[in-house]
Amino acid sequence: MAEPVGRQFGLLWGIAALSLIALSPLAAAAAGNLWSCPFKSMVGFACPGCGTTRAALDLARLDPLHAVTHYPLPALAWMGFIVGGLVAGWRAWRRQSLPRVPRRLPIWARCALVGVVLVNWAYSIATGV
Amino acid sequence: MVEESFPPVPPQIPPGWEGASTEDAERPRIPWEERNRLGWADALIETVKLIVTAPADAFSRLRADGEVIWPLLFGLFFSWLGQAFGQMWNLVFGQAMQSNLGEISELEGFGQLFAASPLSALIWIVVWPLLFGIVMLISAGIFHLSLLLVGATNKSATGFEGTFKVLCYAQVSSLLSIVPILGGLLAILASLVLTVIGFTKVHQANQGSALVAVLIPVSLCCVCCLVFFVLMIGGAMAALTAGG
Repeated sequence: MAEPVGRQFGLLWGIAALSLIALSPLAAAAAGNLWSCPFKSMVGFACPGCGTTRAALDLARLDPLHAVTHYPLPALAWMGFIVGGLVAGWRAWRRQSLPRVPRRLPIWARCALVGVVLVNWAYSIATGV
Repeated sequence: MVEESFPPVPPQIPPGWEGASTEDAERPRIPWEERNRLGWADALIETVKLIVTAPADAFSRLRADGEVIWPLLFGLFFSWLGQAFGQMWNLVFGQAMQSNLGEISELEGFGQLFAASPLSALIWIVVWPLLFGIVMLISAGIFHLSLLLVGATNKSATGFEGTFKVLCYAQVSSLLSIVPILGGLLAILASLVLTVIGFTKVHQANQGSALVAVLIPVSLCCVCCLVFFVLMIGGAMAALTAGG
């Protein structure tokens, strides 16, 4: 019999989080081979996704303070993915229930989501990320 | 959160899905989900044929059956093939691409992307299966958030599972990486088309909202990727012209 789908996703998320933690020592080595954002190179200011890789590298270097202050949204998203993955993986491993993904978002949540992305982009442009 | 007792509960039937269970059981399934009956090779080939020739039919056969790992392995197989071909073409044409992109002053160092060595290509091909699961989970999360944002999941019977499966089966597009230089770009474009069709069918969304849901992450997270692809086409053309 198939495992409950929530448990499968929980385990998968947990494995993904553990893999990212395991791969983090390689981040410093990979950093030298990364290229700059072509959007920023051409236009002169940050794109909405700018800072995502640098936030990951900061976190891999165990410098969450720098990550959050310079690239707040990507840093929080990465931390959420790792911590959420560890919790979900643990709960799935213990066969405990996991919260379901909602099928619809209330309008205030949609507005908040768009607002957070726009504010983060403005912050990136203002701070010259 | 309420704790469940052992043994685990059976797969959860989403609201609105219960009544459709009998009808759903009679509907044909995607061949890969009948691999035990068809045989693995036949199921794989038939699934590719179906997705390529009738993607709407293929994605309408997906259902919330609690199977996550097998679609992931299906996607991994084609994605890995695509990565292998991509790395191979990088080794063959990378030098020309690198020098052509390097001539654009604003993109200093950008041509490094094509500076693949045999060792780095090999490492990438070996590591990719580990990264694939992470990439798929994050992609599914971002796309599902976007679907929720535009209200495309309101009538969905499959929820996050449907989003995840669509992205896995859309990896068939990686076969286009067999085409030198522009194959990667073609694969991504084909993947986006398949994803839109898949979301339309799996979440019973209209095409407009599915398209917007796919374009939001692409435009937000990958604006730089779009610029990159335009430049890559230019670099590829220049490389081919120089080679010719």
